[in-house]
Formats: sequence, C-alpha cells, structure tokens
Amino acid sequence: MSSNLLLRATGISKVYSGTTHPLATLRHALFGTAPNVTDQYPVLDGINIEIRHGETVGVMGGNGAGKTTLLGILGNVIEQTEGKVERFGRIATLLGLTAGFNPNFSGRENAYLFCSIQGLSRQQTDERIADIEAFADLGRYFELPLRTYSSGMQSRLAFASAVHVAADLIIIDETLAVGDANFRMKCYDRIRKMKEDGQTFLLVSHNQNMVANFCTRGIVLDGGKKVFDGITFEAIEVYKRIRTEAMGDSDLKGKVLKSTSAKSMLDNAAVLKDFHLAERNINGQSFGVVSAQLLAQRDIEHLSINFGISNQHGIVVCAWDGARAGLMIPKLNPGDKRNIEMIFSKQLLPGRYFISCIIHELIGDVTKPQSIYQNFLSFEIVGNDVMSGIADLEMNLVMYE
Amino acid sequence: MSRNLFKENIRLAWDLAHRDLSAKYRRSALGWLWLVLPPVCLLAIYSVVFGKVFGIEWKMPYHGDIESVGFALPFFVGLSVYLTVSDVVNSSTVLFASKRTYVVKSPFPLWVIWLANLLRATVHACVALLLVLALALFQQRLTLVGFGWMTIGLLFCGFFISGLSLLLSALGPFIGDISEATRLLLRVLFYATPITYPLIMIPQPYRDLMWFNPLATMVELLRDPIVFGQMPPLLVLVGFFFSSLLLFGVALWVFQQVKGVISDVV
Repeated sequence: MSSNLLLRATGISKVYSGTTHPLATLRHALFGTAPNVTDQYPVLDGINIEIRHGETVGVMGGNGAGKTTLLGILGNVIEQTEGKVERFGRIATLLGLTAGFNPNFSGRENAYLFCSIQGLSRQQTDERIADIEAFADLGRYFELPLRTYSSGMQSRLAFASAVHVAADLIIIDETLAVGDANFRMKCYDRIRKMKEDGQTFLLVSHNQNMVANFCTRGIVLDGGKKVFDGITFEAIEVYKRIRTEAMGDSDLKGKVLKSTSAKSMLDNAAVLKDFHLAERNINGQSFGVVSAQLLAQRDIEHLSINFGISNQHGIVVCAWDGARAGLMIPKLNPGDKRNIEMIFSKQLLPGRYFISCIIHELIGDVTKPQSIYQNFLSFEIVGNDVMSGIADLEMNLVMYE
Repeated sequence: MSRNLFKENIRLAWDLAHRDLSAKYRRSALGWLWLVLPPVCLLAIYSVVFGKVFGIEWKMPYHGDIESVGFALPFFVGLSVYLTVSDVVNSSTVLFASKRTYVVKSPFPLWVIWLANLLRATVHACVALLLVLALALFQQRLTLVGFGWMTIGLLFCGFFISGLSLLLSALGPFIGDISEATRLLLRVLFYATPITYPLIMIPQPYRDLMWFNPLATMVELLRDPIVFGQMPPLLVLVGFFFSSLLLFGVALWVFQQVKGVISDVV
C-alpha cells in the first residue's frame, strides 16, 4: 500500500511573524532568539496529509484558510515552521502559473522557460513544444511577445505549458477559472483525460462544481486546520457549511449545522416544520411537492422563501428565488401560520437529489436570511440508463430513409 | 536522483541567466553590443582624463627598471574588477526581492537564483576579460607566466566574489539599508582603491593597509600578472585565499539559516 504513496505530510504548521521588522526575523533565524509571541500569525496548524498515486485531491477553504500556504509547503516552495514532508516522486508545483513569464519574450520562449523551471531539459521541451502550441491554440500570437497578449491568452499559454509538464504529482492553485468557456472546457477535458491515464493531481479551488467533477477526495481547511478529509461530496457539504457560517450574520450561526435534521433554532423570525414530500399529478405530468408549515415567531413585515435542488455532486440543478419571483408573504404576527408548498417538475435523470430552502426577511431592499434548511430532504430518481447527466431533456434520435 | 537534480538545477540556473541577459538587450537597437560598450567607453574617458590630463602612468614597480607601461592597460584591469564587483554587489543585495515570483511561487531551491545571478555577472566579466587580454596582447604585455598567475588570480577572485554575493543575497531581504549602503561604499571604493592610480602612489603606512581592502587586493592580484607578468606577493595570495574561505563559510552558514524564511519577508 505504501509503495504508491507519493507524498506524506505530518504535523505541518506554519507561523508567519506579522509586522515584525525583518531584522527580528533575521535574528531569530541566525541566533534562535525568541520571536515576539504577540506577533505570530499561525496559518497552518498540525496538518496531516497523504496523497497516493492516481488520486485527484481537491483542497477547499475560504480566503485565508491556508490553502495556498499548504500547497506551497507540499510543493517545496515555502518552508514549514514545524512538521515533515516526504516526497516520493517528481512534483510539479504550479502556484502562480504566470510566474517567470517575461512580457518581452514570445509565447514560445516563455513556454521554454516555464518547462525549464518545472525541471524539463531543453530536449524534453523540444518534444513537447508542438503539443503546447497546439493546446494553447494562440495562432500567430505564439510567436509574438507576451505583452501583446490579453490576460486570457496568457493563462492559456500557462495552462498549456502546465499540463505538458511530466510529474508524478501536479499541484495546481486556482488557475482553471480563467480563459473563456471554450478553453476552460478544453482544460477540464485534458485534466479528465490525464486522470484516466493515472495522473495524480492536487487542486485548490473555490469552485465546488469543479471539485465535484474531478476530485476523488476532498480536503477542507478552516482557520489553518484540516476539518475534513474524505469523499468529495461530504467535503463539499462541509465547505458550504463553513462558508455560510463565515457570512458573519449572527442570526445564522450554528443553525446550518443542524439543517439536515430539518429543525431550526429558536429566535428565528420564521421557521418551517412538518415537512412532507409527495408526488402529485398536474395536467397529466408528475410533480414533486414539498409541503410544510411556516410559523412566524415575531412581527415580520415581508418574508420570502427560496428553494433549490442539487444533485449528489453538490451541483445546483435548479434554484428558485422567491423575492425575484415577486412572491412574498406580507405582514405576519407572532404565532401566525401559513401552509406552503414548494412544487417542482421531476424532469430529472436517475440519481440522488437534495432539497434546500432559505427563509428571508425583507427589510426595505435588504434580504436577511432567517432560517436555512440545507439538504433537509432527499429523494431518489430511478429509471433506465439511456440518458445520463442531470436533466431529462427527453432526448431521442430519429432516423429517416 | 539527487545528482540528476543537481545537474538539472545548474542547467536551470544557466537558463535563467541567459534569460536575464537576453531580456536586458533584446529591446535595444545595439543589442549585445551593450556588453562591450560600457567598459570601452569608460576606458576611453578615463584614459583621456587621468592618463593624458593628469599624466598618471604605471612603471615597473618591482625591479629597478623604470619602464613605463602607460595608463590604459593597468587601469583597464582595475576598472574591469571594479565593474564586476559592483555589478555583483548591487544585484545581490536586491536579488531575492527582484526575483520575488521565483522565490514565492517556484519549486526550485533558492541557490539556483543566486547561481543564475552569478553566471550572468560572469558573462559580463568574461567579456571584460577578453577585452583586457586583447589590449594586453596588443601592447605585448602578456606573458605565459603572467597568464598562468592570472588564471589563479581569477579563481581566487571568483571564489571571493561568490561568497560575497551569497552573503549579500542572504542578508539583503532582511536589511533594507544594505543596498543603499553598498552603493555608497562602492562609490567611495572606486577612488579609495588604486584603480585610477598605481598602488605605489599611496604613501606608507596607508599602502600596506590597502591589503585589507579586498577590492584593492583583487585589482593587484590580477594587475601584477597581466600587466607586469609577475606572481602577486605570496603573503597576499595566501591571506586572500583564507579570507575568501572564511567569507564563504560565513556566507554559507548565514544562507543555510535564513533560506527558509526568505520567502516570508520578500
């Protein structure tokens, strides 16, 4: 089992000494004098990670959670304060993709230097340069200086160079969210293909969909600690929860954790209870209906409800915004009850789906979340496997003589 | 594996050096001619002012002979050493700050950046050396013995400059004043070192103190063999070698201690 281990990090911690004068850092490094304790900024705290051959690991976390620092340490760019990293193979670190690009050199020359930095010899780069050129698809711009490039074109060049670097493990930091849709699609295809060929990746992304689509494992960082390491779907749920909590609205704090139990905390302005999922025929078509009772806890001027359905990869299939739809519940007094029904067409393909719902209070033009019920109900669509994906678009093929 | 990696890093250092050089000259009309122009122009100006106007000249100082060797060649040796040292010193103090993207984003070791800078400076130094040798040959000053001692002198100077560069690169990111201070010091040293005048013009006891000025030592270490075809004083050779060794040792120790935190402060 340990033979296919590519990277093992044990007890990684990183402390930056914030505003201290660099001289203090120097004294500390040279003579080991004690650093100013009040000025220490721990960024990572006791992280353990193992990465094995063939895995695609996604690292998620909010801004400042320590993602980039972690990748920097794993990729041997930044030195950890404590802990040990063992590497068993060649690791390509693509932190800033355009690092080392010079605006006065052509795309071709920059690609050569990029490969050189990533440890390819001139000869190895010669073998790859045609592929890089074809993948970047920059046309005559490939021979023009980089300063004539748009930012999208720069990232195309960078990504094209990056995926042609031969390494046992490729570490990529938030770089795929650039370029136009066509090129992004191409990048995703390329990553998928490399994955199938057994390439191991470590990706950092804010994009849950991307993580859901590519990663075989998800790691969630929060405040420098690893809070989750496991299957992708659960990792995304954990990340979403952290993100919602971090919105800073005190009304939300701690509630979302319990959302799956379909209960909400007290002192919400309005809560839902008695959820019930049923099927109903409307005009000969089958619809899903979630019925619930809305209970007002205090005076509310206006109230709106959003609800949505996502699949098991965390991809939102469809979401509905009550305020935008103009459907608001006016003037509620404490103890008022309303029966509500959330209705949706079941044009979905086989798989597991989750329903979430948020109740907003509307004050002026501000919407303030009052209760959140995340993935409080789930249902399974069964059927044949003629079509795959999310939505049933009633596809068919017609043939003529 | 580690041997391969080492070779790979050397290759990378050369790639980076090459990149730096061609980036510098690429947008200029005269291109690579700029490698040659600055030393040649400075040589011309100083030859007129110090050689012709002030009438400074070198004489064979070690024998009874008082044959004049003129101003141009001995000065050019000193100037080349000075230009090389100031190039290395000025670039080293700000090295990691100016290559920040490599330091904080790229996976290769920091010493590669240091080596790349040294290689770049070596290219400049080699151009100057070729010009000096051409002038020495033209003036029929170069002897086989002189060439041999020059090679040894060059190795010693290279060793000292490498150590100096490593130390300044390692300290530069932490001490902001260092780049300003060295700039000022280098200006002072240009006149405080027997570059534009012979060492013999300095009255005793200050003349012997000159051997504590590494720049003066390096100038004399190369001027003796190239201009006069002589071995430099043995004591100076040995002393300089051991001071270089000491400097390199200190630089290596400092670099090892701080290399981990450099990416935190640049």
